[in-house]
Amino acid sequence: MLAGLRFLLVPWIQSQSVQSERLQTLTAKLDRSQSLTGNSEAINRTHDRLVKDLESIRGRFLEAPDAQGFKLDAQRQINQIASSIGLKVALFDWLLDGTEDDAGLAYGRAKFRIEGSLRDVIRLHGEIEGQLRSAAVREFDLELQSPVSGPSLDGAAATLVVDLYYWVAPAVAAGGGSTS
Amino acid sequence: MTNLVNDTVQSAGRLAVDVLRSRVAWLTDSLTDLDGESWVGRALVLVLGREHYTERRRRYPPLGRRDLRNVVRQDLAASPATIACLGPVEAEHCEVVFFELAPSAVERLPRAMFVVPETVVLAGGLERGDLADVYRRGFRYFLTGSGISQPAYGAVTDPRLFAIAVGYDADPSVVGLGPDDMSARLTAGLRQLPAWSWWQFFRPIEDARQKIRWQAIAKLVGSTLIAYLVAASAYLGLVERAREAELAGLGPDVENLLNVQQQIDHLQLERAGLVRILQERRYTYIVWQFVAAAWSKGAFVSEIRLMDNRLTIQGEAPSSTEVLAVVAAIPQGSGAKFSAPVRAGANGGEGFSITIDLGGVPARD
Repeated sequence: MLAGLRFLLVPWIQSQSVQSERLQTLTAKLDRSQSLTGNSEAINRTHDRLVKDLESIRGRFLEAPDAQGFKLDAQRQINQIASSIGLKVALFDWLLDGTEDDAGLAYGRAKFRIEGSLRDVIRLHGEIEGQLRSAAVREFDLELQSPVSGPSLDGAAATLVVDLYYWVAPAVAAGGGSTS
Repeated sequence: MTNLVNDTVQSAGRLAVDVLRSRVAWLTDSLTDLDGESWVGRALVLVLGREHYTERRRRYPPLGRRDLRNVVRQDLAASPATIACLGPVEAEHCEVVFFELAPSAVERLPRAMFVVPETVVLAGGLERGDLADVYRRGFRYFLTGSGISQPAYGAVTDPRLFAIAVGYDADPSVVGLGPDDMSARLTAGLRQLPAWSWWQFFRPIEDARQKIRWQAIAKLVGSTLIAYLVAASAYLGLVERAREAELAGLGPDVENLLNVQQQIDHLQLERAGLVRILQERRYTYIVWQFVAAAWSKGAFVSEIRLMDNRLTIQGEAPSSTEVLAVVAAIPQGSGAKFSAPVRAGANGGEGFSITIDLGGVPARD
Protein backbone atom coordinates (compact mmCIF):
# COMPACT_ATOMS: atom_id res chain seq x y z
CA MET A 1 0.00 0.00 0.00
CA LEU A 2 2.73 2.45 1.05
CA ALA A 3 4.93 1.36 -1.86
CA GLY A 4 2.02 1.97 -4.19
CA LEU A 5 1.57 5.43 -2.75
CA ARG A 6 5.30 6.17 -2.95
CA PHE A 7 6.03 4.85 -6.43
CA LEU A 8 2.73 5.36 -8.21
CA LEU A 9 0.48 7.98 -6.68
CA VAL A 10 3.10 10.50 -5.54
CA PRO A 11 4.93 10.66 -8.92
CA TRP A 12 1.56 10.80 -10.64
CA ILE A 13 0.40 13.73 -8.55
CA GLN A 14 3.77 15.48 -8.99
CA SER A 15 3.62 15.07 -12.76
CA GLN A 16 0.10 16.52 -12.72
CA SER A 17 1.38 19.51 -10.77
CA VAL A 18 4.11 20.11 -13.38
CA GLN A 19 1.59 19.63 -16.18
CA SER A 20 -0.76 22.09 -14.51
CA GLU A 21 1.95 24.76 -14.27
CA ARG A 22 2.85 24.19 -17.91
CA LEU A 23 -0.80 24.59 -18.86
CA GLN A 24 -1.07 27.83 -16.88
CA THR A 25 1.95 29.25 -18.71
CA LEU A 26 0.58 28.09 -22.05
CA THR A 27 -2.82 29.59 -21.27
CA ALA A 28 -1.26 32.92 -20.28
CA LYS A 29 0.76 32.91 -23.52
CA LEU A 30 -2.33 32.08 -25.54
CA ASP A 31 -4.37 34.82 -23.87
CA ARG A 32 -1.62 37.34 -24.53
CA SER A 33 -1.25 36.20 -28.13
CA GLN A 34 -4.98 36.38 -28.75
CA SER A 35 -5.06 39.80 -27.19
CA LEU A 36 -2.19 40.91 -29.43
CA THR A 37 -3.72 39.61 -32.64
CA GLY A 38 -7.08 41.08 -31.69
CA ASN A 39 -5.50 44.49 -31.13
CA SER A 40 -2.81 44.41 -33.79
CA GLU A 41 -4.03 47.61 -35.45
CA ALA A 42 -4.10 49.52 -32.18
CA ILE A 43 -0.65 48.18 -31.27
CA ASN A 44 0.88 49.26 -34.56
CA ARG A 45 -0.84 52.62 -34.28
CA THR A 46 0.51 53.10 -30.77
CA HIS A 47 3.97 52.12 -31.93
CA ASP A 48 3.93 54.63 -34.79
CA ARG A 49 2.62 57.37 -32.54
CA LEU A 50 5.31 56.71 -29.96
CA VAL A 51 8.04 56.76 -32.61
CA LYS A 52 6.80 60.14 -33.82
CA ASP A 53 6.54 61.49 -30.28
CA LEU A 54 10.06 60.40 -29.52
CA GLU A 55 11.45 61.87 -32.72
CA SER A 56 9.86 65.16 -31.76
CA ILE A 57 11.19 65.09 -28.21
CA ARG A 58 14.61 63.88 -29.25
CA GLY A 59 14.89 66.84 -31.59
CA ARG A 60 15.27 69.06 -28.56
CA PHE A 61 18.55 67.43 -27.63
CA LEU A 62 21.89 67.39 -29.42
CA GLU A 63 23.00 64.27 -31.25
CA ALA A 64 26.67 63.31 -31.08
CA PRO A 65 28.72 60.41 -32.40
CA ASP A 66 30.57 60.02 -29.11
CA ALA A 67 31.25 61.81 -25.83
CA GLN A 68 34.50 63.43 -26.88
CA GLY A 69 33.02 64.70 -30.12
CA PHE A 70 30.05 66.13 -28.27
CA LYS A 71 32.25 67.90 -25.73
CA LEU A 72 34.37 69.40 -28.47
CA ASP A 73 31.29 70.66 -30.33
CA ALA A 74 29.62 72.03 -27.22
CA GLN A 75 32.77 73.84 -26.05
CA ARG A 76 33.27 75.30 -29.53
CA GLN A 77 29.62 76.41 -29.63
CA ILE A 78 29.84 78.20 -26.27
CA ASN A 79 33.09 79.88 -27.31
CA GLN A 80 31.43 81.04 -30.51
CA ILE A 81 28.48 82.51 -28.67
CA ALA A 82 30.79 84.28 -26.19
CA SER A 83 33.13 85.68 -28.85
CA SER A 84 30.22 86.79 -31.04
CA ILE A 85 28.95 88.85 -28.11
CA GLY A 86 32.41 90.12 -27.25
CA LEU A 87 33.06 88.15 -24.12
CA LYS A 88 36.17 86.29 -23.14
CA VAL A 89 36.02 82.69 -21.91
CA ALA A 90 38.55 82.74 -19.12
CA LEU A 91 38.05 79.14 -17.98
CA PHE A 92 36.31 76.01 -19.35
CA ASP A 93 36.29 72.69 -17.57
CA TRP A 94 34.27 69.48 -17.88
CA LEU A 95 33.38 68.41 -14.34
CA LEU A 96 31.76 65.03 -14.98
CA ASP A 97 29.95 62.76 -17.41
CA GLY A 98 26.64 61.08 -16.61
CA THR A 99 23.74 59.17 -18.14
CA GLU A 100 19.97 59.21 -17.87
CA ASP A 101 19.32 55.56 -18.60
CA ASP A 102 15.52 55.81 -18.73
CA ALA A 103 15.66 58.52 -21.33
CA GLY A 104 18.63 57.06 -23.20
CA LEU A 105 20.56 60.30 -22.79
CA ALA A 106 24.05 61.21 -21.64
CA TYR A 107 25.21 64.53 -20.37
CA GLY A 108 28.37 66.43 -19.63
CA ARG A 109 28.61 68.96 -16.82
CA ALA A 110 30.70 71.96 -17.79
CA LYS A 111 31.95 74.86 -15.68
CA PHE A 112 33.10 78.00 -17.43
CA ARG A 113 33.97 81.58 -16.54
CA ILE A 114 33.31 84.49 -18.86
CA GLU A 115 34.52 88.03 -18.49
CA GLY A 116 33.30 91.29 -20.08
CA SER A 117 30.66 93.91 -19.56
CA LEU A 118 27.59 93.21 -17.46
CA ARG A 119 25.30 93.86 -20.40
CA ASP A 120 27.10 91.23 -22.48
CA VAL A 121 27.07 88.75 -19.64
CA ILE A 122 23.30 89.11 -19.40
CA ARG A 123 23.02 88.59 -23.13
CA LEU A 124 25.24 85.53 -23.04
CA HIS A 125 23.07 84.03 -20.31
CA GLY A 126 20.05 84.43 -22.53
CA GLU A 127 21.82 83.10 -25.61
CA ILE A 128 22.93 79.94 -23.84
CA GLU A 129 19.45 79.12 -22.63
CA GLY A 130 17.93 80.12 -25.95
CA GLN A 131 20.33 78.51 -28.42
CA LEU A 132 21.49 75.47 -26.51
CA ARG A 133 18.11 73.86 -25.98
CA SER A 134 19.62 70.86 -24.25
CA ALA A 135 21.47 73.01 -21.73
CA ALA A 136 20.34 73.31 -18.12
CA VAL A 137 22.08 75.99 -16.03
CA ARG A 138 22.68 74.57 -12.57
CA GLU A 139 24.69 77.39 -11.05
CA PHE A 140 25.29 81.04 -11.89
CA ASP A 141 27.64 83.29 -9.98
CA LEU A 142 28.14 86.95 -10.97
CA GLU A 143 30.97 89.11 -9.67
CA LEU A 144 31.00 92.83 -10.35
CA GLN A 145 33.96 95.17 -10.21
CA SER A 146 31.69 97.71 -8.50
CA PRO A 147 28.02 97.83 -7.53
CA VAL A 148 25.72 98.72 -10.43
CA SER A 149 22.23 100.08 -10.64
CA GLY A 150 21.44 98.86 -14.14
CA PRO A 151 22.67 96.76 -17.09
CA SER A 152 25.75 98.92 -17.55
CA LEU A 153 28.98 98.38 -19.43
CA ASP A 154 30.88 97.97 -16.18
CA GLY A 155 33.24 95.00 -15.86
CA ALA A 156 31.74 91.71 -14.74
CA ALA A 157 32.71 88.05 -14.49
CA ALA A 158 30.22 85.20 -14.40
CA THR A 159 30.85 81.54 -13.54
CA LEU A 160 28.27 79.08 -14.85
CA VAL A 161 27.82 75.36 -14.25
CA VAL A 162 25.76 73.83 -17.08
CA ASP A 163 24.49 70.31 -17.85
CA LEU A 164 24.49 69.63 -21.59
CA TYR A 165 22.40 66.64 -22.70
CA TYR A 166 23.05 64.67 -25.89
CA TRP A 167 22.13 61.45 -27.54
CA VAL A 168 23.94 58.36 -26.43
CA ALA A 169 25.89 56.45 -29.03
CA PRO A 170 26.35 52.78 -28.01
CA ALA A 171 30.05 53.22 -27.20
CA VAL A 172 29.21 56.17 -24.95
CA ALA A 173 26.38 54.37 -23.16
CA ALA A 174 28.70 51.52 -22.25
CA GLY A 175 30.99 53.90 -20.38
CA GLY A 176 28.22 55.85 -18.63
CA GLY A 177 28.71 57.43 -15.24
CA SER A 178 26.45 58.48 -12.41
CA THR A 179 23.01 60.03 -12.71
CA SER A 180 22.46 63.39 -11.11
CA MET B 1 -18.02 16.83 61.03
CA THR B 2 -17.28 13.23 60.06
CA ASN B 3 -21.01 12.52 59.70
CA LEU B 4 -21.35 15.53 57.45
CA VAL B 5 -18.56 14.25 55.19
CA ASN B 6 -20.11 10.74 55.06
CA ASP B 7 -23.55 12.15 54.27
CA THR B 8 -22.06 14.29 51.51
CA VAL B 9 -20.19 11.36 49.96
CA GLN B 10 -23.26 9.13 50.13
CA SER B 11 -25.44 11.83 48.59
CA ALA B 12 -22.91 12.31 45.79
CA GLY B 13 -22.76 8.54 45.25
CA ARG B 14 -26.55 8.24 45.07
CA LEU B 15 -26.67 11.16 42.66
CA ALA B 16 -24.03 9.55 40.43
CA VAL B 17 -25.91 6.21 40.42
CA ASP B 18 -29.18 7.97 39.59
CA VAL B 19 -27.54 9.91 36.77
CA LEU B 20 -25.85 6.82 35.35
CA ARG B 21 -29.03 4.72 35.81
CA SER B 22 -30.87 7.17 33.60
CA ARG B 23 -28.36 6.38 30.86
CA VAL B 24 -28.95 2.60 30.90
CA ALA B 25 -31.08 1.09 28.10
CA TRP B 26 -32.56 -2.41 28.13
CA LEU B 27 -33.28 -4.36 24.96
CA THR B 28 -35.93 -7.06 25.40
CA ASP B 29 -38.90 -7.37 23.06
CA SER B 30 -38.72 -3.57 22.99
CA LEU B 31 -36.08 -0.93 23.79
CA THR B 32 -36.75 0.72 27.14
CA ASP B 33 -34.98 2.14 30.13
CA LEU B 34 -34.81 0.16 33.37
CA ASP B 35 -38.21 1.51 34.42
CA GLY B 36 -39.92 0.31 31.24
CA GLU B 37 -40.15 3.71 29.54
CA SER B 38 -39.48 3.74 25.79
CA TRP B 39 -35.88 4.61 24.81
CA VAL B 40 -34.64 6.67 21.86
CA GLY B 41 -31.08 7.60 20.97
CA ARG B 42 -27.68 6.71 22.35
CA ALA B 43 -27.11 4.91 25.65
CA LEU B 44 -24.21 4.75 28.05
CA VAL B 45 -24.95 1.11 28.93
CA LEU B 46 -27.14 -1.32 27.00
CA VAL B 47 -28.40 -4.38 28.85
CA LEU B 48 -29.02 -7.07 26.23
CA GLY B 49 -32.04 -9.29 26.95
CA ARG B 50 -31.43 -13.04 27.11
CA GLU B 51 -33.69 -13.74 24.12
CA HIS B 52 -31.23 -11.87 21.83
CA TYR B 53 -28.19 -14.09 22.22
CA THR B 54 -27.08 -17.66 22.65
CA GLU B 55 -24.48 -18.64 25.17
CA ARG B 56 -21.43 -20.81 24.46
CA ARG B 57 -18.52 -21.68 26.73
CA ARG B 58 -15.06 -22.76 25.77
CA ARG B 59 -11.99 -23.65 27.78
CA TYR B 60 -8.55 -22.45 26.70
CA PRO B 61 -5.09 -23.43 28.01
CA PRO B 62 -3.90 -21.16 30.83
CA LEU B 63 -2.46 -18.16 28.97
CA GLY B 64 -1.79 -14.63 30.04
CA ARG B 65 -4.72 -12.23 29.78
CA ARG B 66 -3.28 -10.42 26.76
CA ASP B 67 -2.40 -13.63 24.86
CA LEU B 68 -5.79 -15.11 25.63
CA ARG B 69 -7.54 -11.99 24.41
CA ASN B 70 -5.57 -12.10 21.14
CA VAL B 71 -6.49 -15.78 20.64
CA VAL B 72 -10.15 -15.03 21.29
CA ARG B 73 -10.04 -12.07 18.92
CA GLN B 74 -8.70 -14.32 16.16
CA ASP B 75 -11.40 -16.89 16.88
CA LEU B 76 -14.05 -14.19 16.59
CA ALA B 77 -12.66 -12.65 13.41
CA ALA B 78 -15.31 -14.38 11.33
CA SER B 79 -18.20 -13.57 13.65
CA PRO B 80 -17.94 -9.95 14.73
CA ALA B 81 -21.39 -9.91 16.40
CA THR B 82 -20.17 -11.93 19.37
CA ILE B 83 -19.28 -10.66 22.81
CA ALA B 84 -16.52 -12.60 24.55
CA CYS B 85 -16.25 -12.56 28.32
CA LEU B 86 -13.00 -13.97 29.70
CA GLY B 87 -13.24 -15.74 33.02
CA PRO B 88 -10.51 -15.91 35.65
CA VAL B 89 -7.31 -17.76 34.66
CA GLU B 90 -7.24 -21.05 36.60
CA ALA B 91 -4.26 -23.36 37.08
CA GLU B 92 -5.28 -25.69 34.25
CA HIS B 93 -7.55 -23.67 32.05
CA CYS B 94 -9.36 -20.43 31.42
CA GLU B 95 -13.04 -20.40 30.56
CA VAL B 96 -14.39 -17.90 28.01
CA VAL B 97 -18.09 -17.26 27.56
CA PHE B 98 -19.24 -16.28 24.07
CA PHE B 99 -22.52 -14.38 23.73
CA GLU B 100 -23.50 -14.74 20.08
CA LEU B 101 -26.01 -12.08 19.11
CA ALA B 102 -28.98 -12.94 16.90
CA PRO B 103 -28.91 -11.04 13.57
CA SER B 104 -32.23 -9.40 14.45
CA ALA B 105 -30.68 -8.07 17.67
CA VAL B 106 -27.66 -6.63 15.86
CA GLU B 107 -29.97 -4.63 13.62
CA ARG B 108 -31.91 -3.25 16.60
CA LEU B 109 -28.92 -2.38 18.75
CA PRO B 110 -28.78 1.32 19.62
CA ARG B 111 -25.36 2.95 19.82
CA ALA B 112 -24.00 2.37 23.31
CA MET B 113 -20.64 2.66 25.02
CA PHE B 114 -21.10 -0.61 26.95
CA VAL B 115 -23.15 -3.65 25.86
CA VAL B 116 -23.71 -6.04 28.77
CA PRO B 117 -25.59 -9.38 28.51
CA GLU B 118 -28.55 -9.52 30.90
CA THR B 119 -27.50 -12.86 32.42
CA VAL B 120 -24.08 -11.45 33.40
CA VAL B 121 -25.79 -8.59 35.23
CA LEU B 122 -28.33 -10.77 37.04
CA ALA B 123 -25.81 -13.49 37.96
CA GLY B 124 -23.80 -10.86 39.82
CA GLY B 125 -26.64 -10.53 42.30
CA LEU B 126 -26.97 -14.27 42.98
CA GLU B 127 -25.09 -16.52 45.39
CA ARG B 128 -22.84 -19.14 43.76
CA GLY B 129 -25.26 -22.04 44.50
CA ASP B 130 -28.47 -20.13 43.79
CA LEU B 131 -30.65 -20.67 40.78
CA ALA B 132 -32.90 -17.98 39.36
CA ASP B 133 -36.18 -18.48 37.53
CA VAL B 134 -36.55 -15.36 35.36
CA TYR B 135 -39.80 -14.55 33.65
CA ARG B 136 -40.97 -11.40 31.96
CA ARG B 137 -43.54 -10.63 29.26
CA GLY B 138 -43.87 -14.13 27.81
CA PHE B 139 -40.20 -15.03 28.03
CA ARG B 140 -38.74 -17.33 30.71
CA TYR B 141 -35.27 -18.62 31.36
CA PHE B 142 -33.18 -20.11 34.15
CA LEU B 143 -29.89 -18.79 35.46
CA THR B 144 -27.26 -20.08 37.90
CA GLY B 145 -25.14 -17.96 40.21
CA SER B 146 -22.13 -18.84 38.03
CA GLY B 147 -23.82 -17.25 35.00
CA ILE B 148 -24.99 -20.36 33.12
CA SER B 149 -28.43 -19.77 31.60
CA GLN B 150 -30.94 -21.47 29.34
CA PRO B 151 -34.34 -20.39 28.02
CA ALA B 152 -37.29 -22.52 29.16
CA TYR B 153 -38.23 -24.64 26.20
CA GLY B 154 -38.14 -28.25 24.99
CA ALA B 155 -37.26 -30.69 27.80
CA VAL B 156 -36.06 -27.99 30.18
CA THR B 157 -39.24 -26.30 31.35
CA ASP B 158 -38.66 -26.48 35.05
CA PRO B 159 -35.94 -25.06 37.37
CA ARG B 160 -35.29 -28.53 38.84
CA LEU B 161 -34.66 -30.04 35.42
CA PHE B 162 -32.32 -27.14 34.60
CA ALA B 163 -30.50 -27.70 37.90
CA ILE B 164 -29.95 -31.35 37.00
CA ALA B 165 -28.83 -30.38 33.49
CA VAL B 166 -26.13 -28.02 34.80
CA GLY B 167 -25.05 -30.40 37.62
CA TYR B 168 -26.75 -28.67 40.55
CA ASP B 169 -28.63 -30.42 43.35
CA ALA B 170 -32.04 -31.70 42.30
CA ASP B 171 -33.63 -29.43 44.89
CA PRO B 172 -31.80 -26.11 44.56
CA SER B 173 -32.64 -22.82 46.18
CA VAL B 174 -34.69 -21.11 43.46
CA VAL B 175 -35.05 -17.33 43.35
CA GLY B 176 -38.00 -16.17 41.32
CA LEU B 177 -37.39 -12.94 39.36
CA GLY B 178 -40.54 -11.42 37.94
CA PRO B 179 -41.06 -8.23 35.93
CA ASP B 180 -41.33 -6.15 39.12
CA ASP B 181 -37.95 -7.33 40.42
CA MET B 182 -35.95 -6.82 37.24
CA SER B 183 -35.28 -3.10 37.50
CA ALA B 184 -33.84 -3.30 41.01
CA ARG B 185 -31.92 -6.52 40.23
CA LEU B 186 -30.39 -5.07 37.11
CA THR B 187 -29.38 -1.88 38.90
CA ALA B 188 -27.78 -3.87 41.71
CA GLY B 189 -26.08 -6.22 39.22
CA LEU B 190 -24.57 -3.35 37.24
CA ARG B 191 -23.17 -1.86 40.46
CA GLN B 192 -21.49 -5.16 41.30
CA LEU B 193 -19.87 -5.71 37.90
CA PRO B 194 -16.07 -5.70 38.34
CA ALA B 195 -13.93 -3.25 36.38
CA TRP B 196 -12.49 -6.05 34.25
CA SER B 197 -15.97 -6.95 33.00
CA TRP B 198 -16.67 -3.34 32.07
CA TRP B 199 -13.44 -3.31 30.06
CA GLN B 200 -14.57 -6.40 28.11
CA PHE B 201 -17.99 -5.00 27.39
CA PHE B 202 -16.67 -1.65 26.14
CA ARG B 203 -18.00 -1.18 22.58
CA PRO B 204 -17.76 -4.87 21.58
CA ILE B 205 -20.09 -4.46 18.63
CA GLU B 206 -19.10 -0.91 17.69
CA ASP B 207 -15.55 -2.05 16.89
CA ALA B 208 -16.81 -4.61 14.43
CA ARG B 209 -19.14 -2.08 12.83
CA GLN B 210 -16.40 0.52 12.58
CA LYS B 211 -13.96 -1.89 10.94
CA ILE B 212 -16.45 -2.75 8.25
CA ARG B 213 -17.24 0.92 7.71
CA TRP B 214 -13.57 1.91 7.46
CA GLN B 215 -12.92 -0.67 4.81
CA ALA B 216 -15.82 0.61 2.76
CA ILE B 217 -14.77 4.20 3.25
CA ALA B 218 -11.17 3.43 2.34
CA LYS B 219 -12.28 1.68 -0.83
CA LEU B 220 -14.54 4.58 -1.73
CA VAL B 221 -11.83 7.18 -1.07
CA GLY B 222 -9.21 5.16 -2.94
CA SER B 223 -11.39 4.62 -5.98
CA THR B 224 -12.46 8.27 -5.93
CA LEU B 225 -8.83 9.39 -5.79
CA ILE B 226 -7.86 7.15 -8.69
CA ALA B 227 -10.85 8.33 -10.70
CA TYR B 228 -9.96 11.94 -9.91
CA LEU B 229 -6.35 11.47 -10.98
CA VAL B 230 -7.34 9.77 -14.21
CA ALA B 231 -9.87 12.50 -14.99
CA ALA B 232 -7.39 15.26 -14.09
CA SER B 233 -4.65 13.74 -16.26
CA ALA B 234 -7.03 13.36 -19.17
CA TYR B 235 -8.29 16.92 -18.74
CA LEU B 236 -4.78 18.41 -18.52
CA GLY B 237 -3.57 16.49 -21.55
CA LEU B 238 -6.56 17.39 -23.69
CA VAL B 239 -6.57 21.06 -22.72
CA GLU B 240 -2.82 21.37 -23.27
CA ARG B 241 -3.09 19.92 -26.77
CA ALA B 242 -6.04 22.19 -27.53
CA ARG B 243 -4.13 25.27 -26.33
CA GLU B 244 -1.07 24.35 -28.40
CA ALA B 245 -3.21 23.88 -31.49
CA GLU B 246 -4.94 27.18 -30.85
CA LEU B 247 -1.62 28.96 -30.40
CA ALA B 248 -0.19 27.42 -33.58
CA GLY B 249 -3.32 28.58 -35.41
CA LEU B 250 -2.59 32.22 -34.63
CA GLY B 251 0.34 32.16 -37.07
CA PRO B 252 3.72 33.97 -37.20
CA ASP B 253 2.18 37.43 -36.73
CA VAL B 254 2.16 36.81 -33.02
CA GLU B 255 5.94 36.84 -32.81
CA ASN B 256 6.09 40.12 -34.73
CA LEU B 257 3.41 41.63 -32.52
CA LEU B 258 5.26 40.49 -29.42
CA ASN B 259 8.37 42.28 -30.68
CA VAL B 260 6.33 45.40 -31.41
CA GLN B 261 4.80 45.23 -27.94
CA GLN B 262 8.27 45.01 -26.40
CA GLN B 263 9.36 47.99 -28.46
CA ILE B 264 6.31 49.91 -27.26
CA ASP B 265 7.22 49.16 -23.65
CA HIS B 266 10.76 50.37 -24.28
CA LEU B 267 9.62 53.49 -26.15
CA GLN B 268 7.14 54.39 -23.42
CA LEU B 269 9.88 54.10 -20.82
CA GLU B 270 12.18 56.27 -22.90
CA ARG B 271 9.49 58.87 -23.49
CA ALA B 272 8.71 59.05 -19.78
CA GLY B 273 12.42 59.61 -19.05
CA LEU B 274 12.69 62.38 -21.63
CA VAL B 275 9.53 64.08 -20.39
CA ARG B 276 10.85 63.97 -16.84
CA ILE B 277 14.10 65.68 -17.90
CA LEU B 278 12.19 68.36 -19.76
CA GLN B 279 9.84 68.92 -16.84
CA GLU B 280 12.70 69.21 -14.37
CA ARG B 281 14.53 71.77 -16.53
CA ARG B 282 14.34 75.36 -15.25
CA TYR B 283 15.02 78.61 -17.11
CA THR B 284 17.47 80.62 -15.03
CA TYR B 285 17.42 83.70 -17.22
CA ILE B 286 14.54 84.84 -15.04
CA VAL B 287 17.07 85.94 -12.40
CA TRP B 288 17.47 89.17 -14.33
CA GLN B 289 13.81 89.97 -13.77
CA PHE B 290 14.48 90.03 -10.01
CA VAL B 291 17.69 92.06 -10.47
CA ALA B 292 15.85 94.55 -12.66
CA ALA B 293 13.15 94.92 -10.00
CA ALA B 294 15.85 95.71 -7.41
CA TRP B 295 17.40 98.26 -9.75
CA SER B 296 13.99 99.90 -10.15
CA LYS B 297 14.11 100.73 -6.43
CA GLY B 298 17.51 102.42 -6.78
CA ALA B 299 19.48 99.44 -5.58
CA PHE B 300 23.15 98.99 -6.40
CA VAL B 301 23.72 95.26 -6.92
CA SER B 302 27.14 93.95 -6.06
CA GLU B 303 26.74 90.20 -6.39
CA ILE B 304 24.28 87.67 -7.82
CA ARG B 305 24.44 83.96 -7.08
CA LEU B 306 22.15 81.13 -8.22
CA MET B 307 22.62 77.68 -6.75
CA ASP B 308 20.13 74.81 -6.36
CA ASN B 309 17.35 77.06 -7.70
CA ARG B 310 17.95 79.60 -4.95
CA LEU B 311 18.83 83.12 -6.01
CA THR B 312 20.83 85.45 -3.78
CA ILE B 313 21.09 89.16 -4.57
CA GLN B 314 23.44 91.36 -2.57
CA GLY B 315 23.74 95.12 -2.78
CA GLU B 316 22.85 98.48 -1.27
CA ALA B 317 19.62 100.49 -1.61
CA PRO B 318 17.98 103.55 -0.07
CA SER B 319 15.30 101.27 1.33
CA SER B 320 16.08 97.57 1.51
CA THR B 321 12.50 96.72 2.53
CA GLU B 322 11.21 98.28 -0.69
CA VAL B 323 13.61 96.10 -2.63
CA LEU B 324 12.39 93.04 -0.75
CA ALA B 325 8.75 94.00 -1.37
CA VAL B 326 9.23 94.43 -5.12
CA VAL B 327 11.11 91.14 -5.63
CA ALA B 328 8.61 89.28 -3.42
CA ALA B 329 5.81 90.46 -5.71
CA ILE B 330 7.23 88.64 -8.74
CA PRO B 331 5.10 85.46 -9.12
CA GLN B 332 7.92 83.30 -10.53
CA GLY B 333 9.71 83.39 -7.15
CA SER B 334 8.68 82.48 -3.66
CA GLY B 335 9.93 82.79 -0.10
CA ALA B 336 11.78 86.05 -0.66
CA LYS B 337 13.54 87.10 2.54
CA PHE B 338 16.63 88.75 3.97
CA SER B 339 19.35 86.16 4.35
CA ALA B 340 21.56 88.48 6.44
CA PRO B 341 20.99 91.45 8.72
CA VAL B 342 20.44 94.78 6.97
CA ARG B 343 23.41 97.03 7.64
CA ALA B 344 24.44 100.58 6.85
CA GLY B 345 26.08 100.64 3.43
CA ALA B 346 29.32 102.35 2.43
CA ASN B 347 27.40 104.86 0.25
CA GLY B 348 24.86 105.84 2.91
CA GLY B 349 22.18 103.34 1.93
CA GLU B 350 21.14 99.98 3.46
CA GLY B 351 23.22 96.95 2.68
CA PHE B 352 21.05 93.91 2.02
CA SER B 353 21.22 90.25 1.05
CA ILE B 354 17.95 88.74 -0.27
CA THR B 355 17.25 85.12 -1.19
CA ILE B 356 14.40 83.96 -3.47
CA ASP B 357 13.35 80.37 -4.20
CA LEU B 358 12.97 79.71 -7.96
CA GLY B 359 12.06 76.03 -7.64
CA GLY B 360 8.58 76.41 -9.08
CA VAL B 361 9.48 78.01 -12.41
CA PRO B 362 9.59 75.31 -15.11
CA ALA B 363 11.11 75.92 -18.50
CA ARG B 364 8.75 76.42 -21.43
CA ASP B 365 9.68 75.51 -24.98
